[in-house]
Amino acid sequence: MQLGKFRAFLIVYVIAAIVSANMGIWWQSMLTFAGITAIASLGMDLAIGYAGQITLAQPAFVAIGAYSSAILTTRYDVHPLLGVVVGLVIAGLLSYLLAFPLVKLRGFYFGLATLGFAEIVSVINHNAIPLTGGTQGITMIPYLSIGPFVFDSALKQSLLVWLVSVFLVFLCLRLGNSRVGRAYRAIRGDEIAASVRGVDIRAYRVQAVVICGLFGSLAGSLQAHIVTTVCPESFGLALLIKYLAIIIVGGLGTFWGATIGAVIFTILPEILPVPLDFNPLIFAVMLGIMLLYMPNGIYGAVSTMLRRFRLTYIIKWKS
Amino acid sequence: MSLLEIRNITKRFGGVLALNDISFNVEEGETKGVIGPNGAGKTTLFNTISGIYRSDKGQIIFRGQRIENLDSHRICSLGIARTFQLSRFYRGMSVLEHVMVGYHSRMKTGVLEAWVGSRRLKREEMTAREKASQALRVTGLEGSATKLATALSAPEQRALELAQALVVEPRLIILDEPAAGLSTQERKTLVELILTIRQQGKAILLVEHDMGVVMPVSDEVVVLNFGKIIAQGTGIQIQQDRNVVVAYLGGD
Repeated sequence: MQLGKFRAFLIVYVIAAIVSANMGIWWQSMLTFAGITAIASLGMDLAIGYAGQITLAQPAFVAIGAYSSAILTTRYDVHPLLGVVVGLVIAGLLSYLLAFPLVKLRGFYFGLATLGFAEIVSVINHNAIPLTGGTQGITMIPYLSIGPFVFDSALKQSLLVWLVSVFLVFLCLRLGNSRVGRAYRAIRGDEIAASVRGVDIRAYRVQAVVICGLFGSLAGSLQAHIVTTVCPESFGLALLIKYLAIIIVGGLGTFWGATIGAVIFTILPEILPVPLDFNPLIFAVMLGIMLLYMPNGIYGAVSTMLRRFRLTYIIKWKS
Repeated sequence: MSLLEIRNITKRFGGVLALNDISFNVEEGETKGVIGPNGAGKTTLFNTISGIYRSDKGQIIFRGQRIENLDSHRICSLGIARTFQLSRFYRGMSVLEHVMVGYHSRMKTGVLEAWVGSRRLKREEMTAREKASQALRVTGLEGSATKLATALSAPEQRALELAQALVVEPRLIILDEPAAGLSTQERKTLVELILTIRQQGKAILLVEHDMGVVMPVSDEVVVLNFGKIIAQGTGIQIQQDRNVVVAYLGGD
């Protein structure tokens, strides 16, 4: 069933690709940013929405990916793809070292601890001038390239980012259908019961946080090679709130919800006739409305509607 | 060597001595009843055996291996399953999925294989489904396989608890008040089910208040009061034991 859905979205991807090829650069850039945000949000959706592990350090992992790519490609002439891989390795290691000792903490306290980690990373980014360039950041980051193919235009970048994004959703859906996915949901539902019934809760809790960090790092690396600059301001609390709003509005644990949410929260602030400073307010209002009227998020509400529509259609047809 | 040896288990919660030097054995294939007034420490004992609590003193030995310091999931994969007195569910998951989670410790595939969609994964998933369906059949729940677990009636919920314990094919099943909330007819069905499990050679540790459930199935009964064992023996023996009578009915 999930495979069929993937084919459907692949078709959507192709159509969207053809459509965006004919639109302006602004639209293509917006889509690219939405795609990058979707990748980072997807990691959060997996860890928080699906596995119930409140990890609030995602901006730090996006920063780790971004800075790794930036530093390696500008200062050491490393190939962009290798930079991405190194970023992933660092993010994977750090998220493991973060999660493993903290795994005895319950929910909220675990979240606070991850927030502490994010703050440490942020301080390093702002102050370790020889490494990160401090508040000036790093500029002149080269574009991504695979062999002779360079991703230098908004269109090429958005096609790449969305291909990766859709593929990652597919991986998450696959995970959901497996023993690991069930373990995550069981842990989210009732940790002690899951443990007594054979699920290694510590291992899976850590694993979920690590995968989340890896997604974040990938998003950060992509961002570095597309925006071509990194600065510490972009990886702060505001970004975390955006991710949380995205996964809640999109629908916790639905994976496609994170993608839909990312598109909404990237494009909406741009098209509303309100200054960008109002973003947190807009996000908060949207979050409030969603929690009141659509607690399962947009994806949840649409699924329910479709199910009801199919049901009434079948009933009408049979009578 | 007994299947399960409880040796001098002691557990304190602050000032309360919940388990006081508990020692008894469960043999292979034996059904042992554990009875006692409310607050005697029965559930605490079961939680300690299944690794939710760590005892302060004493040892628990299962098939020759010390398990008192192991994590719950390790204890489960070694062959001890338990049901909960108040059914515990995973939100949003179906009945079948609950039981498939129960089979988790017998499966091996991980994240990478899930992403690749390997053949071994597909085979394992099919096996898990079969085992889960089998457990549902034994407990009479096959019709409800796709229902949300939270949508089940009370006796169905107890059946689900049992199915989740059975699917992992344990050597020892711990049943924590399985008859609570069941009607007389349902209790009869429960007794039959317990006897079927016993026939399969599994050892059973059973906590129950209803003597009509405990006595027909138990080979031996352990009586707890205030965290101590006050009597041990066959059903008839303990019913005649003075200490037991006092514990349940109060002093003269």
